[in-house]
Amino acid sequence: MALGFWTLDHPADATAVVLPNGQVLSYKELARQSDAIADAFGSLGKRSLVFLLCRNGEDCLAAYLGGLRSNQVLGLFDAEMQPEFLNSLLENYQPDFIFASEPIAFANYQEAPAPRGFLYRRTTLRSGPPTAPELALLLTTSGSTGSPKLVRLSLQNLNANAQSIVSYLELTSEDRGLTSLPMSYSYGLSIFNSHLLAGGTLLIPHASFLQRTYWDFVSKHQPSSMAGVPYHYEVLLKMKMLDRELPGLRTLTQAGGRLSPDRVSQVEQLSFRRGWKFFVMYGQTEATARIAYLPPNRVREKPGSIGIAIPGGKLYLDDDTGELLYTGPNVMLGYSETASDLAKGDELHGLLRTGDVGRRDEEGFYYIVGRLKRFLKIYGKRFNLDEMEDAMGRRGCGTVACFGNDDRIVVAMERGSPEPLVREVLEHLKIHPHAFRLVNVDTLPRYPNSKIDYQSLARQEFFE
Amino acid sequence: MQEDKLTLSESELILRRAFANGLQISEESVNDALQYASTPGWDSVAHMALIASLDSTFDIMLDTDDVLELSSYPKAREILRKYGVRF
Repeated sequence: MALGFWTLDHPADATAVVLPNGQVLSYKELARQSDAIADAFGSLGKRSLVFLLCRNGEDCLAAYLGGLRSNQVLGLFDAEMQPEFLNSLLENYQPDFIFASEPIAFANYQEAPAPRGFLYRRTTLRSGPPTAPELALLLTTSGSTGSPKLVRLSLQNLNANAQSIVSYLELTSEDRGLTSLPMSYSYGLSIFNSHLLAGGTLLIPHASFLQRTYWDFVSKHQPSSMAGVPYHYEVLLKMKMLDRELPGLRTLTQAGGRLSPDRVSQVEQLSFRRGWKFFVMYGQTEATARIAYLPPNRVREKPGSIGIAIPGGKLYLDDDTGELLYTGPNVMLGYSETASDLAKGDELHGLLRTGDVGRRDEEGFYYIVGRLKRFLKIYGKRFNLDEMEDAMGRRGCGTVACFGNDDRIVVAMERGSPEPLVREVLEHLKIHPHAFRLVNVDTLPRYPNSKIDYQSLARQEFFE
Repeated sequence: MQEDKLTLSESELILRRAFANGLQISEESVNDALQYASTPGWDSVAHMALIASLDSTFDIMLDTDDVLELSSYPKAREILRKYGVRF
């Protein structure tokens, strides 16, 4: 394996980072700053568990690299995360240190000296067994709020995925990656990691892509690659923001969910005209970040495809369920739900069950056709819960959520939802009366993006 | 004079309601200090909702430059003036 990206083993004077104010950090300077923070993390004379409350910028980047360089165990969290969630994580995992780029107060923590940013040390010793030697990084699972479930990753996971990305995006030291996604988010982090591995430059804008200062920064520093989740592309297209002058731009990447084939085709046409390569990608935090990519020259024919496995990985389908399976060196060690899980080693052995149902075309390109868990098999019959909700919506059942396990479907009805109509739809679908249960809720739990939070519903005791 | 004053406060009220709608906050908490990114909840999703809310409320089509420029409540007032809204 090549040296890890965290070694920053590139020409000392090469530009590693351009900060929001235009200030530049060389690889040498970034390494120096990282090691200065590493010294603070190492002050306990043992391997520390460090939670970083991330904001993209030099403080958190140096803390992240310092932690990896000195073999600590890091947890990356969005500095904007809900305080209740953060507090429950702190209570659960009792990290030795918390690092933030802005001052913040925590019970049981006191400020400790740090060369930059703000460092807080736990006032009492962390209980629980020592962390597994291969564990390097904890990330939140995509979408979850309030769940202490974290993804456990190793240095090998991180570097392997960065290597794959460098390879298929053909990143070189000439590349200038725009890091507009949060580094606490696996897709965002993968941009940092892959560009550092290639010896390229990270451009860190301060503002959101819907602000003037962001585009001023882009015009001035001319990224060679830009990344976005489906929402970004929806807005970029709608506002015709990709029609502006973007000198130096070479690559667009999209991940973080499904962009509709229509939109994919629109971006592809635009990219073709402008001479950019447009990569549609698929991944999960459970695979560090990336699992598959659609080669740019195939996007036009297959705009709905997630493409092929990244270099170093393999994709295949479960014969029985059609579930998309992935093997590769970037597959996580496992999940962590409590502090004691941090002692666990590799539980997955390189095999990830994605939970997505896929299909493969005759050329070996993959497509996602649904979520495995949104199917229930009741009395030997498969039910698509999303379709069930749609049917109820069409019948005028109001806001309902269908979920459950293979024994029973639960239909949660928001206040005002007409129960007789819900029953009618269930009868129409020939679902055995014993196979479902209706419950009334005031409001359905939802994620910030307004999608229904089925995990939270499933945790409630609707199953008798 | 009296009529002018009424017009002033009306546009202001409508703008305030559009902001409350777009950012999902109460009308009382809409004030000149609201700023993109530093006001909790004013993120890119809220921003697009705010733009949609302004477009439909004032029956205009904010262009891309104005969407990018609209980074605070006072700035919104300034931009809307360009579209003929009187405050």
